[in-house]
Amino acid sequence: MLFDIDEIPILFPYDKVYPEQYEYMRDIKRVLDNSDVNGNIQLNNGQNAAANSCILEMPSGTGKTVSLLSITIAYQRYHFKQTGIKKKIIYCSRTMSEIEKTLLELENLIEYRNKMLPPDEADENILGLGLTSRKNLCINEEVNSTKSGKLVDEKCRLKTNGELKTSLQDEAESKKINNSLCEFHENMYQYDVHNYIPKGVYSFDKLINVCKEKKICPYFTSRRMIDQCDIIIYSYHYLLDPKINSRVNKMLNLEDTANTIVIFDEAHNIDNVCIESLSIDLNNDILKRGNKSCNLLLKKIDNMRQVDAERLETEYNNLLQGLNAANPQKATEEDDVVPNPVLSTDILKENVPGNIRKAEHFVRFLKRFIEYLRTRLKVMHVISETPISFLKHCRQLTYIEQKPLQFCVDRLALLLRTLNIQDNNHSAIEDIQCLKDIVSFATLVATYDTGEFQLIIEPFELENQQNIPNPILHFICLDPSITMKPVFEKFHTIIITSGTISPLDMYPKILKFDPIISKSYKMSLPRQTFLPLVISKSTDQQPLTTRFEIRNDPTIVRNYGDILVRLSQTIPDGLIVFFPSYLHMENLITKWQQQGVLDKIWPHKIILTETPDAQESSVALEIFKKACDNGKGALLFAVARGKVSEGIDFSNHYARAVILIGIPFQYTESKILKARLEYLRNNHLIRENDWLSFDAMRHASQCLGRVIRGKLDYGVMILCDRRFTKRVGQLPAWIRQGMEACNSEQDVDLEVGLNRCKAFLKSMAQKDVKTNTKDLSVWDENDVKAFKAENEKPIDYSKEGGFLLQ
Amino acid sequence: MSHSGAALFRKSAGILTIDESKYPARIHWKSTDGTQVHTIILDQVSKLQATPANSTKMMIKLIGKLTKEEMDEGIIDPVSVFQFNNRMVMENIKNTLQIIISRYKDNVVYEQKMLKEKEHENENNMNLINTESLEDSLSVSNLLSNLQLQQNYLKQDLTLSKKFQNSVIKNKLPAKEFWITRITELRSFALSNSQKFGPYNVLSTIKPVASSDNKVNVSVTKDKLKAILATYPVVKLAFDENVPLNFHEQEFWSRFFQSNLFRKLRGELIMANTRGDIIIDKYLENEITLNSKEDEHNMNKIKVSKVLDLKGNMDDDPLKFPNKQDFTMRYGADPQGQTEGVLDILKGMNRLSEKLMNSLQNEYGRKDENKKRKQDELDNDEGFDDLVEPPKIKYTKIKIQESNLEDNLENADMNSVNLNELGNRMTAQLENIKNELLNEDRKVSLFDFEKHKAACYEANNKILNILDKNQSFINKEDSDNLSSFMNVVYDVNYKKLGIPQEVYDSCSLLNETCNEFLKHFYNHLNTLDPRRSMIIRRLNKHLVQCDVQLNEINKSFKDYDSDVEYMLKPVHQAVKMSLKKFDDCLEK
Repeated sequence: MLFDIDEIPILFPYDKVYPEQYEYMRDIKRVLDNSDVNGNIQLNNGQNAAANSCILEMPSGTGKTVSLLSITIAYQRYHFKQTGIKKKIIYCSRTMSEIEKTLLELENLIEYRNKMLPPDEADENILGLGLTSRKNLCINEEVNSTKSGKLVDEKCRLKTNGELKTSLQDEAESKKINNSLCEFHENMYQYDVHNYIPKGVYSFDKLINVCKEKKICPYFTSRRMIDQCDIIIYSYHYLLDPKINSRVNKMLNLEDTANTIVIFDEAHNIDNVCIESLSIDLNNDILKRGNKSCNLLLKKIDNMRQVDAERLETEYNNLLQGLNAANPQKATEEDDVVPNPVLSTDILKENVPGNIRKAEHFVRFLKRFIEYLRTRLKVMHVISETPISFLKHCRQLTYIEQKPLQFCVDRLALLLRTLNIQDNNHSAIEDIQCLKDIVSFATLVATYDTGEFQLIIEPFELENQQNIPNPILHFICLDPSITMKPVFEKFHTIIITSGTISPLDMYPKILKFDPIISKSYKMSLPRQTFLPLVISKSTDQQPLTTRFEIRNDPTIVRNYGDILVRLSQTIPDGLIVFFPSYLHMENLITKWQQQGVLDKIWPHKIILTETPDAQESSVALEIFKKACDNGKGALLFAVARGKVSEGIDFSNHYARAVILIGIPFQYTESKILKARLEYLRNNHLIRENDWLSFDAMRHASQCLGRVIRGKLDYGVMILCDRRFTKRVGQLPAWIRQGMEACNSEQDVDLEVGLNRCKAFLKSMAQKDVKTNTKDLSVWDENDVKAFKAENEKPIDYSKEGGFLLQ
Repeated sequence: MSHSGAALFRKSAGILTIDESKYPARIHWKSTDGTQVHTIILDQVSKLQATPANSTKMMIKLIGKLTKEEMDEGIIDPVSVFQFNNRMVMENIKNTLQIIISRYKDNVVYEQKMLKEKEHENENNMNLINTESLEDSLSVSNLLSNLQLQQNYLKQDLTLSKKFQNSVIKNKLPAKEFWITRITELRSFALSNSQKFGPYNVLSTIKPVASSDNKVNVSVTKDKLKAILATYPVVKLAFDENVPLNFHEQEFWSRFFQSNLFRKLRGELIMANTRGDIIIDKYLENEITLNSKEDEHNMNKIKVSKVLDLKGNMDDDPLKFPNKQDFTMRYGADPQGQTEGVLDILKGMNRLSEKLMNSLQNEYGRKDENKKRKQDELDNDEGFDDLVEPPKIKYTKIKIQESNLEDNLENADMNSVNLNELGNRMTAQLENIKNELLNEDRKVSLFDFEKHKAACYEANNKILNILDKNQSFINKEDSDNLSSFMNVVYDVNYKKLGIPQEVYDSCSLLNETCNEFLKHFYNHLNTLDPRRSMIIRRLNKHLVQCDVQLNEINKSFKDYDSDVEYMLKPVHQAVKMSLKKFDDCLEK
């Protein structure tokens, strides 16, 4: 359908629109407008004021993605027609699955636009691509056969770099090298960059198929074409993580950041991603392997000295002139050999200190640093210290200064390039990977010697496992706003949205931004399609809880088992069960097996679980869907913070109920969590319990959101823990609204709960009874017009001496 | 666990060992000095006795079996008594012996049972059609050639089988002809009879129960055992390698249900001290290799869509090095070590579910469905159906030419018809009809009531009588029972006619046969296909025979001449008519 929001014609790929979708699009339009005005002012002033951001909670299953895409694409097209400036859209989502789904939605939308628009205005020249890792896109079987993503990256780099090509052309040298060029990458030289693939929208699957036909590399296709895209969809790591964002930004050619619209979809976890991107762990194994690869480097340097001493000499001479001159790769489009883990604004632009300019000196410097770290790991109790004290101690003991540490990453990158190690050996690649981790740590700790960071050295995994030393060094970032800051500074329009992002005031606080709109939308439903239930007691009136102290109590275990058996008998098709942690899942499943609980479920549903092997879990998901499709019905055990809880949809019969066993609290004894809680308390005045509860409930609501993927979809949400009764208020508004609509008492026991499920499912299975009253949950074009006439009248200022613009 | 221990035998000290790896299992006793050896083969033992737990003596007594001849010769049962000096050792050995001996005893019972079941098996265990390629096996040609299916159908439907006997067996109607008119019935029969019990988790339905005499009983059916063999290739491997080479089928199963392999397949944790079975548990290793092979196969075969690709999600950012997860979020990290091996259980469940689903993959024509999905699609296509305007039903106007209004309506649009004129024409027509009806001259007398008054009353009475009789009968019986009502109708029919049942039956049979032939005859004749001439000729021959038979029956039952002839008159006429038609066709 076609309707206008203010002056912009929106082509919405359906015949009708939900009221909340309209409202959502209108609000986004306001934000976009605002940024236009402010952006221009900012440009004039030449300074970057705070960005125009908004934080919006749009219930799951109300077509959030399609609305976002419709409004932004329409805005982009309109703006281009009016001013000739093409705004770029960067759409960030959380996981590859979600990116793929968004790409598919976009494909639909563009197809619809092309159908509806007159041929001369059609968007046929729109290019929309997604970006993901080599591992996910590689079609070279030799490379892709390795399991780890890092290895695939490394192997690909070895097969596609320019040095290999030149040396392969030289016959004498080519005999020495045990490697070949990647044919798919080579084939790309036959085409111009804009001719790799025709314009259009490509989901990853489609891209791979098209590239397979053309025999070109899908990864490099999307990478090289990305700066021509009108809309780019990628994971928000690519924008936040400094190791990767410098590379991506380079590819994107982002000069005009004022004309870029950034969308963070599924942003409920964004603070964790921010923190993760500046944190790192080291353990003995990494240090050992790092040391090993230092020895390898020394040997290589020695070799090179004998064969090609000139090369080392040039490297040294270049370094004298400055780092950038020494690093020729900056000019080419190849990846950084060692990505810099520090935010680009924090990178030092100075000369490399003298003591690490010579290759041998640098490697020996690293060896000394590794040795120091190894002694630090030999502790008997937990140590928590600030980066400053760590650096001071390091200087006192080893005379290693802060400055050379800061340059470690760049220096190693340069060295690796100079040595040009063409070794196709797995373990060597992995060893060097470890060395890269260590230099990343060195650079991070030397750059961020502020209060927002902390070092924690834990000698043991657990308090009661003191006989097994397994020391680990955490370098953690405590403040997510550090990573977010450059994004807010750079881009003028930022939309942060998710299905579950309650409470809305928490995020601006911890990410330090000031949204111009923060809003939670309600879900308009013709009939209540989901039933949230808090089951707090079992049939024998025992309270249900997974509190740590009593979670292994046999009665509680049996009662949870009983719930599962009864529900698997009641609920048709798919059933998903979320546990608070892997540990508890293992515990409960073992006990249920012993008590014969699972034997009672098998006749009703087949049972599948999420396992540590991600690939195996994906296969399990495929089987799960198959079982739901053919009517057998299936039950899936998953973990609330695990791989399944994010980004995987279970629409319609794939999930008729989702069961939460316990509240997914974090492990509160974790040292990292404790450090973070302390920081939050001191800096944001957020109490520990409030944060823990907020964090648990956002994961819980994510799990609950899996069940409703559309307004025609229906399902039951069952929260099995007594402690939920007090925390209902922390659920997103739309779930609470559902609770009120169902008039469900805050806590019921299993029997009452089952009866309500039965009644609900029975009524849902009936065909929708058409009532005479008008359905207010969908609007057609007339409804939109009527709404506009009612609510969006131009304000009449004529009485105050104003006039109306026609 | 202990299968060996110190024991005194004939007052000399020694070591007693139970050797289960041989078939049949045996006890070896060897004195400490190595001079004396005693061996007992355990399937020759009929009784096992042990001193009770509260007695100070610790002894086990084994009483052997004798053959009949030996008994006749008066040989005393061979008795071996072992003395122990450690209660634990004795208990262990006693328990082991108990299990082994009871296993041999059950052998006999089991074999008898199996024999009985085998007889039944032949009846039930028939697969009428191949459900894996449903489209193919339900095609006309395959249904026609599936003799087994046809036989079974005839067995079920008696009236049909009568028809079949008469027309095909007695009167040589080609079977193909018979079935081709009944394809739909045959197809629905095939479908409804080929429904199978879907795959399920067999082992979860098997629960070993301890009986009072310290024996573990497992109740299984032949079908369950078969399902186990089908689901678990490792059990099949063990079965093939050991039965009947090493032991009987029964022994194999009893060993299996006591083995750690069984526990593992069932998904139980195996504790270090659980007693297994030394032979079967060797296959635990095979199980691991078989599983990894199977996993690899599954990983490669099942294409995971990008929308579900968890591995891809993890690989999305290979540069990430986040903090290690705390121990509650990792697998197998329980501090008390309780969850060791749980991973195997989880994987086992997934594997089993996969197996169950895969075994269904090709059943009932699902193969084609699987092929459909090649590229990623959004699952939730129908999710926003409420946003899509339901397609409006459009009608196309169909113009019907009415002969009466022909000239008027032919070119004119419906809307523009002059209503007045139409009204006039209608009244004129009605007038016409009225005149026709009221015209006395044209009246024809169809039936003169006055003339046949008596006969009419009689007929009326007869009908009322029959109705009365039926009514009373139905009231007596269950009124819902339609078949009994039908019987009554039949009864009444021939009793009223006053002819014996055999005559009536043979008449009705002949009637049906003739109808059958007539059906096929017209079926072909009406197609006017020259290629069918052969079959039409043949059918015509059959019809001639029918005619002959009809004449014969009329002759032979001359006593009831009028009634029989009366009954068969319509069919006779039809036959004659079709014969004439055939002749006409020939002439043409």
